[in-house]
Amino acid sequence: MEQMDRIDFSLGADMGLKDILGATDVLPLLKAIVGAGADLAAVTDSKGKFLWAEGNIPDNKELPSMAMEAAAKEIPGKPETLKGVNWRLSTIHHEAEPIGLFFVSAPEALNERFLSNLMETAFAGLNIIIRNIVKRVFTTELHTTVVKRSYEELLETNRNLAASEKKYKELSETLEQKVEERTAELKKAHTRLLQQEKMASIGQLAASVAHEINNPIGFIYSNLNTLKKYIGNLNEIIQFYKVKGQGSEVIGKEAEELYKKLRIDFIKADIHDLIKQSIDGAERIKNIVANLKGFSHIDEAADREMNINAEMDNTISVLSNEIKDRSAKIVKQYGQAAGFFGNTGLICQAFLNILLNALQSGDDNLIITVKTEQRGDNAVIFIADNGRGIPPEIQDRIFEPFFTTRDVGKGTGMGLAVTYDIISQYRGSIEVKSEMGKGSTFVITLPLKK
Amino acid sequence: MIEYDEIEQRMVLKLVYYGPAMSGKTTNLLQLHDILAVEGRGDLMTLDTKDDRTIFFDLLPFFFTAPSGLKIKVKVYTVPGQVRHDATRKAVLARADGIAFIADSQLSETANNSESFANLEKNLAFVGIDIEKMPLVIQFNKRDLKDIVSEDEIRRVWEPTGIPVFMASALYGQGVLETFRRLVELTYDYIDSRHSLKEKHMLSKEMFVDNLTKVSTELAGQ
Ligand SMILES: Nc1nc2c(ncn2[C@@H]2O[C@H](COP(=O)(O)OP(=O)(O)OP(=O)(O)O)[C@@H](O)[C@H]2O)c(=O)[nH]1
Ligand SMILES: [Mg+2]
Repeated sequence: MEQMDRIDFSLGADMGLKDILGATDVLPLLKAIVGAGADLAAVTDSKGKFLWAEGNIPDNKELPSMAMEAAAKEIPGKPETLKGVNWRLSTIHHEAEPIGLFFVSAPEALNERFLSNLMETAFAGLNIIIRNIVKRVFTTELHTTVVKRSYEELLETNRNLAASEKKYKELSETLEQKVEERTAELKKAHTRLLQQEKMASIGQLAASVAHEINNPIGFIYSNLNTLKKYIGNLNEIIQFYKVKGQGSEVIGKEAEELYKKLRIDFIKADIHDLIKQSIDGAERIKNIVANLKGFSHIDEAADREMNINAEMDNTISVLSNEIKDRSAKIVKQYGQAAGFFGNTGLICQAFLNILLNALQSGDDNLIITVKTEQRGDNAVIFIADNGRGIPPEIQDRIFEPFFTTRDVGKGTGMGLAVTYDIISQYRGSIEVKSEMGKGSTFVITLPLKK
Repeated sequence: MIEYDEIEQRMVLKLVYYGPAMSGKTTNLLQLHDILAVEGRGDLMTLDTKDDRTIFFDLLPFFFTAPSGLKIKVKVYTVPGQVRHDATRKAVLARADGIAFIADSQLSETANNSESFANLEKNLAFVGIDIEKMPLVIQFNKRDLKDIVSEDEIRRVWEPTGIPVFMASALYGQGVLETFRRLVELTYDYIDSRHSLKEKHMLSKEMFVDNLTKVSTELAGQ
């Protein structure tokens, strides 16, 4: 029982803002806000001390007292004058508890409505980031707990195993049966998977598959670790016999020959690698499984009626900096698209991720055409670029969570998955048409209010 | 097994909705989420698979501060009811401070109810919780359906145990808040006896219960 620490079955440890978020999660968002014309964008702890900030950061690294007073009165977001700047403040909640503040200020010259929109979009984005991370932590935590538990149960089994040789046999039989059961279960899971594929989004599927894989892999992983230990013991006894045998006239030579014939030296060298590789492999599967996303939120901020064209304009202006940086050209062909009912922050997020994708689709002479129109009871939104295009073999995978074509570590692969989730939530649909070297067109259909 | 950090002035409580598959645990939480005021209540986190069965758990969190400054977080979980998810059930059940057992009133579900209750007893023992001391309420759900166990029969069986029993139709929001309120009351008594919520933190039972069962004004006005 080497390195077997006490197992705590507790679940859902308390998390603060800094446990949830890291600089790489927040800074790109804050940078984008400042890029869009804000003076300062900051995420602070609940006392107003800056955790992350971009723009004109004050020396004391805390929120202006006026903003803090507003936060204390629990009327965040209420704009008051602050020496020639406008500002917005929102409280960040995790599990109902206020854990931090989100602050944006802008020069008075910046349009008030624009600032409000910017804040709304960015805050929705921040909440999505937090939500996804929390989901992942929860899922991972539960998996780890369940795996650890299977491990402990296995150790218990092994203790019983040692009791008698007879039991040994019985147990190996039940083990075989268990393996069969597992295989049957996996087969069932696979069949179910095939059936669900048509209907469920891949994200939801991933969670259930992850769960199915999780138990057997926990099993395999802990068995491998136990096996590693056993092999140590076997090695020791072989070594013991070998050394003792050398002194014995009777069996020494015979043992030596058998030792060579069975290539024990080679096996001893190789077995360690074999097991290590297997453990590494199992570990990797465990990590992949833990990374599959799972939860969905039911809560959403209040929905309201909006004009999709106006929200598209807001999103484009939030991206103005990126657009300038890449000297991309945006062509708008707006038609009738009023009367959609939803959360503007989320809708802007959905557009934002597609536009970002389009902006990264090519290097020069990039033209992005945004077209809207009403078709029956739906608004249809086209976002087309003239970039590299998406290879046919991955076109139906780009909406999967964690799927990214960028280098590992560069994109989280969550952008388009987030868009997909948001659009599905409003019972809309999203499709992509793409041709290599010519560009891609994303077509979003959203049902309008009747 | 209350998580209490005296220095940080924090307390985390865990309430668990237990019961057989499809008895309406998730529905109870969905309804609570809709009935209760947004203030102090968090998002309901739920895993929606295609066929609505819980695989991991659902979580509805609450947060408020006692007059003493003690921060209290209450996390309400559901377990997956399907038999094969027992490992997950144990993980969710560990360190619980109170349990609502949601039974399915349909006659056809009687065996599943008792099997699940036996499973609860077994798993509580496994995670080291004494069922005798644990705040526990029972809800018989789906009263709106035909072919259900009669209320008389239920009372005859359960009243001798002293465990509070509630009739509910969670799908229509009936009996949901009553069940939850009683669970919260029992949980208060349980914690007060260990951590002097009233004496040390000036948190009365009324305050505690009110904070967790504030009805949304939209509904109250109706
Ligand atoms: N008629 C009726 N149906 C109900 C009631 N409560 C729940 N249901 C239905 O029963 C089914 C199962 O409800 P859930 O809340 O998902 O059950 P659960 O206990 O969470 O099930 P698991 O997650 O599998 O453990 C759903 O179709 C509900 O709509 C009720 O009071 N009356
Ligand atoms: Mg459920």
